[in-house]
Amino acid sequence: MEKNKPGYAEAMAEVEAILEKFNQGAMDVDTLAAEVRRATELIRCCKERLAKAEREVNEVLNEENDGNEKSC
Amino acid sequence: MTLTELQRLVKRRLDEAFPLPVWVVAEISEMKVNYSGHCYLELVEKGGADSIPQARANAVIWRTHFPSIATAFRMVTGSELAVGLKVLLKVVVSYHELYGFSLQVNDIDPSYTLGDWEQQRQQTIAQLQADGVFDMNRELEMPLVLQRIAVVSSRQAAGFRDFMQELDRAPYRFRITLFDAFMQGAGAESSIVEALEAIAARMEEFDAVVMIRGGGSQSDLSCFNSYRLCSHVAQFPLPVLTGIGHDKDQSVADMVAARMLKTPTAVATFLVEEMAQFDAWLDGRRAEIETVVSAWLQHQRERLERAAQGTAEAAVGMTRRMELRLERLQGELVRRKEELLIRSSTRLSMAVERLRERTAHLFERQRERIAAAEKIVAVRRPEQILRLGFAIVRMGGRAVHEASALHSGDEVTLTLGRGERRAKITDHGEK
Repeated sequence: MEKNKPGYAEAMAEVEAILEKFNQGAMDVDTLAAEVRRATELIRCCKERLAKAEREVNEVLNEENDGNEKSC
Repeated sequence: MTLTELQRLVKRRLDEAFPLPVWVVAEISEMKVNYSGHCYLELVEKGGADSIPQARANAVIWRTHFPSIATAFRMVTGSELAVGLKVLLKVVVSYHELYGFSLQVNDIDPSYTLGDWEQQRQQTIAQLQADGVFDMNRELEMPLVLQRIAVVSSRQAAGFRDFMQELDRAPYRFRITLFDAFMQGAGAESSIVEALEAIAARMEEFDAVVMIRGGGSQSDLSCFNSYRLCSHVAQFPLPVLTGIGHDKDQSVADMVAARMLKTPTAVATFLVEEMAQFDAWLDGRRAEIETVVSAWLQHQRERLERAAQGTAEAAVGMTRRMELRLERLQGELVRRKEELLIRSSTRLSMAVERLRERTAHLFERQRERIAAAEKIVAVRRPEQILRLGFAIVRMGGRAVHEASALHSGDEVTLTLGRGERRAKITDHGEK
C-alpha cells in the first residue's frame, strides 16, 4: 500500500471527491468511516508531499539566488 | 632653133643674170642623200596660213660640200638638216640642158634657222599667253600618286627604251600605256597631237602624260615649239611631263608642260622619286598613326593601371572600413552582452523572487485547501458524531437505516460514543 501512494494532485482529487460525497449525504455510516479514514490518510500524505515539495523548491530557489553559475 | 639651142640660150641668160651665188630662204620639203654622197633637196616657200607652197625648186649639195655643211649646221643648231627646216642657203643658180633648173648649194647659214626657231618660239609663247592658257597645265595639281602613265613616244625610239628600263629598275610597278607617235620629222606635230587627243578621250584611266623622245637625230625640235602642239599640251587636262631630250633652249612644250625634264631617263627617275616620296609619306603617316595609336594605347594602359590601383585601394579601404565596423560591432556586442547579462541576472533574480512568492502562495493555498478538507473530514468522523449522542444500530453486522427493517424480537448492536451494547426490539412498530 505504501508504495502505491497516489501523487499529490490525485490524492487531492480523491479528497475532493470524498468531500463531495459527504455533501451529497448518500453514505452509509460504515462507508463514511472508511471514507473518513481514507481522506484523513490522503490528507496526511498530501501534507507530507506539500511540505517536502516546499522544502525542495525553497532549496532550489536559494541555490538559484546565490549561485546561478553552478549548473549552466 | 633646136631644143638644145633653146636650153643653151636659157642657160646662158641665167648665167649672165646670176654670175655670183645668192642667199635664198627656203624650207626643206624633201631631202635625200644618194649612194655617192650627194644630197638632193626640194625647197619650197609656203605662203600665208594655209601652208600651201607658192614656190618650189630642186637643189643639190654636192658631196664635196655636204659633210662640212651638215656638220656645221648640226654644231650650231644642235639639229640635223632635215625636212621641215627653214634654212638660209647660199646657192648658185644653174641650168642644165638635160636636167633643167637647179640650185647648187654652197653653204647653209645655221644662224638663220636658229633665228627662225626663236621667232617661232616667241610667236607661240606670245599666242599662248594671249590665249590665257600658257600656265594651265603647270597649274594642274600633281596627283599624289603617279602610277598610270600615258606615254607619247615612238616605240622604236631609244628614249622610250631608256624610260622603260629605268622604270623596270624601280621597286614600284607602273602601268604604262604607249601612244605611238612620230616624234620627229614633218608628220611629228600632227602625230603627237593625235596621240594627245587619244589620251584625252580616256583621261580617267591615267594619272599623267609623259612625252618623250631622244636618242638618234636631234633634228627638228620645231614641232615642240609649234603653236598647235603647245596649245594642246598647255590645255591638256592631265599633267604633262616632258623628256624631249635636248640641251639647247627649252622648247615651248617644255615651258607649258607641268614638269620639264631633260631626258626620258630623267622622267622615269622623277616618277620613281615621286612614288618614293609617296611611299615615304605613307611611311610617315604610318609612323604617325603608330605614334598616335601607341600613345593612345599607353594612355589607356595607364588609365587601366590607375583604375586597377584605384580599385585595389578602394578594396583595401573598404576592407579596412568593414574591419573597423566589425570591431565596433564586436565591442558593442561585448558591451551589450554584459548589459544583457546584468539585465538577465537582475531579471533572473526578480524571476526567482517572483517564483518564490508564487510558490509560497501556491503552497499556502494548498495548505489552506488541505486544512479546509481536514476540517470537513474531522467533522464527519463517526466517533465525533457518536460523541454527540448518536448511536449506530447494527443487525447482523450491518447498519440499519429504517425502523421498518426491525421486527419485534430482533437483536441489534448499538454503537455509542463510548462502547457498545446489545439490545432487543420489543415493540411491533407502527403500521
